[in-house]
Formats: sequence, C-alpha cells, structure tokens
Amino acid sequence: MTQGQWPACAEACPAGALSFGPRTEILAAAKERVQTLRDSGNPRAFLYGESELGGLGYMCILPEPASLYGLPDVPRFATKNVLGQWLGGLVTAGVIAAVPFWLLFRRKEEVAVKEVSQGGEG
Amino acid sequence: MLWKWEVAIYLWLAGLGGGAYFAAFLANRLSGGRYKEWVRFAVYLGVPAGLLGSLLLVLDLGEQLRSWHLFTGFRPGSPMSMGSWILLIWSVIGVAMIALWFAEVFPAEEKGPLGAIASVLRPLVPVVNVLSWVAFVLATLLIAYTGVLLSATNQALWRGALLLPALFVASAVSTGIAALLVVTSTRIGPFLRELFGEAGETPATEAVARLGKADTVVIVIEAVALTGYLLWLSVFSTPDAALSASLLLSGTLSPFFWVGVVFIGLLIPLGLEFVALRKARAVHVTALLPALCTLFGGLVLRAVVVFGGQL
Repeated sequence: MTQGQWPACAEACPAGALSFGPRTEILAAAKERVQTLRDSGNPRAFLYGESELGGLGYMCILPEPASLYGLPDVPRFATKNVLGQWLGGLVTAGVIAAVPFWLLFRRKEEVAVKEVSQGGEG
Repeated sequence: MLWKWEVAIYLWLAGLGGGAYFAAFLANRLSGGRYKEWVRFAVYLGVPAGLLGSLLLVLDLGEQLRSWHLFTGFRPGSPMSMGSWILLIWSVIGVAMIALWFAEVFPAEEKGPLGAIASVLRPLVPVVNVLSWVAFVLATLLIAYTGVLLSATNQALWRGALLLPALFVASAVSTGIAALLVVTSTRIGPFLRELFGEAGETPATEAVARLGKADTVVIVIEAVALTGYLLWLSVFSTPDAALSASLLLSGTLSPFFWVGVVFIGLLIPLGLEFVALRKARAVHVTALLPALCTLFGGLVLRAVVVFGGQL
C-alpha cells in the first residue's frame, strides 16, 4: 500500500465486489451503488459504516438490515457508559454504607443498645 | 468462551476481600473504633484474596509474561486498566498495613532480622490510620470495578448499564461480611489472633450478631438489585439481552441460578438470619451456616454471570 498499490484482496476480487481508495471517493461510489440497488428492487439497501461509531474505515453496502449479517444494527463503544456504571456501583456502596452500616453501627446507637442490654441483664 | 472459571473465581475473591474490608472499616469507624479486630481480619483476608485473584487473572491471559504491560499506562476509561491499578495499590497498602501492625506489637527489645525490620517501621506506625482510609477508598473502587469490568463490554448479558455493578457491589459486601463471620465464629479467629497478635478487645457476641443483621440487610439489597437487573434485561433492554437473561431464568444455567444463587445464596441465609433474630440463640452456631451459604451463593452468582454472558 505504501507503494501506491491496492490491497491484494481488493485487487484480486474477480467480481469487483471490493474496492479501495480515499474515503471520500469510496463514499461517493458507494452511495451511487446504493441508489442503483434501491432502484432495482432492493428498497432496504444501505451503506453500513458511513456514520456508525463516528464512521468506519471499512464500509459495506448491505441489501438488508445489518443484524442479518451478524453485525450490530446500532454499534456502540463498549465503554461508552463506563462513568454511569462506576456510579451505579459506587452509589450502591453509598446506600449500603448508610443502611445497614450507619444505622446499625454508629456510636450513639451503640451506647444506647449497650445500656438497654445491660439493663436487661441486671 | 474467553473468560472461564479463573475470571469467575477472581471476581468472587476480589469482591469478598474488598467487601470484607468495606464492611469492617465502616463498622469500626462508625462505632468509634470498637471493631479494630474486624479491620485486621479483613486485611488478612483481603490481601491474599487480591493476590490470589491477580494470579488467576494472569493465568487466564494468553501471554502471562506480558501482563506487566497493564502497568505501562493509566487509562481511566478502561476498567481493565483501572482494575489492575486498584488491585496493585490495594495489595501494596494491605501489606504495608500488616507490616505496621506487626511493628506495633513486636517487642522493642527483641534483636534479629525481624527486630531490625520492626525498629525501622516503628516510627511509621501512625501512618496506618491514613492507610486505612486509602484502603477504604480502594476497597470501594475494587468491589465496584468487578461489576464495571463486565458491564463495560458488549456481551448481551453484561451491558446491563448500572445494575450489574450494583448487584456485584451488594454481593461483594454480603460475601465479605460472611467471610468475617466465618473467621469470627470458627477457630480461624483465635488462630489469626495467635499469629498476628491481638488488636483491641475481641468484639462481643452481640456485635457479631449485629454484623449478621447487617448482612441480612445487604442480602435484601442484593436480592433487589438482582431482580432489577434481570427484569431490566428481560423487559426493557434489547431482544438479545432478554435471550441471555432467559439462559439464567429458564435455560441451561437455570438450575445453578435458582438453586445456587437464589435458594442457597439468598433464601437460606435470609431464612436462618430471621430465625436467629427471633430466637437469639447462640450466635456462633447460627452465624456459620448462613455465612457459608452466602459465600457459596456469591461464587455461583459470579460463575453464572461470567459463563452466561458468553453462551
């Protein structure tokens, strides 16, 4: 590729199904192809990868929804919600710190319980 | 299947160690320092649990010798990077705390290599107070991270947003308390006291019963988080998430889920704790069985979630 050649798979593809080039050129060609497909009886044809995850480096023209090809329909970054997930864990820890720990172990109550139990024994 | 039993046991161990410290530290601080011994037991449990867990994680890697690469960067957005650092610092601080406690009780007049180490460490003993706070922050992050690690993936069962970390935190604290209860109500407690020296007064039976009560409340929170998590997956999430949840509820993993997690891990401990609360019988007998059930249920929970996410 550094010598200005195509990747072997795209170059060798006998049916011309693979193409390689600058993103803008590929995008224009792909959109044209999608339109052709739509006009010729594939109304659901679309370009996968144009905007998914901010635009993929490898785009596919698919005649049916992506999930039919084992691709996620709406791909998302696995760590997209990581802050919320940390919060989910930490908030739970906070709740547990309050109930039962603060309720059962805070000093005031400790003394009161102690007195009651001693009173009960005596 | 990429993550196997090593990861399930690791998540259980890290939760147990961090949860025990979380519980012991809170009980001790809130009560004005009455339960120093639990904090020590928790560190004696938490450090080996962290180290053993880390070992399992390294074993689980394809390239064990490259595991140090995890420590070449600090990436807050990556739970795996954060977890590696949390585990490392947790273990170092735990070892430092044990060393300082050792120096505190070691006879000053004693010579030899141990005496030399103790005399070097003795001026640093007050630092243990600061370390105990740092360890509390780390323990809290550690137990949260065990859930975040799974939920920050795209596996249908795990990307349960907020409730998987919530469930793992509750389970970590309940297994942690259970581990403390096992230590205090068996001969392990006296053995540790013998080995490392005494730390304040031994908590009374009444205090142990209260810790059992705290565990009951945490188990209730865990049951709520578990119900919410599975309900969310089954009803409000995507179809593939609902399919994953059905693996646990009615599919291949359902015997383990219903018997191991729900019956042994949640219902038996809750039932026994309620009986103990009403009858106030000898706590040493009644604390052990629910604690062992809780520990077992926590392990099965990690296993069904780890395996279920990859089926």
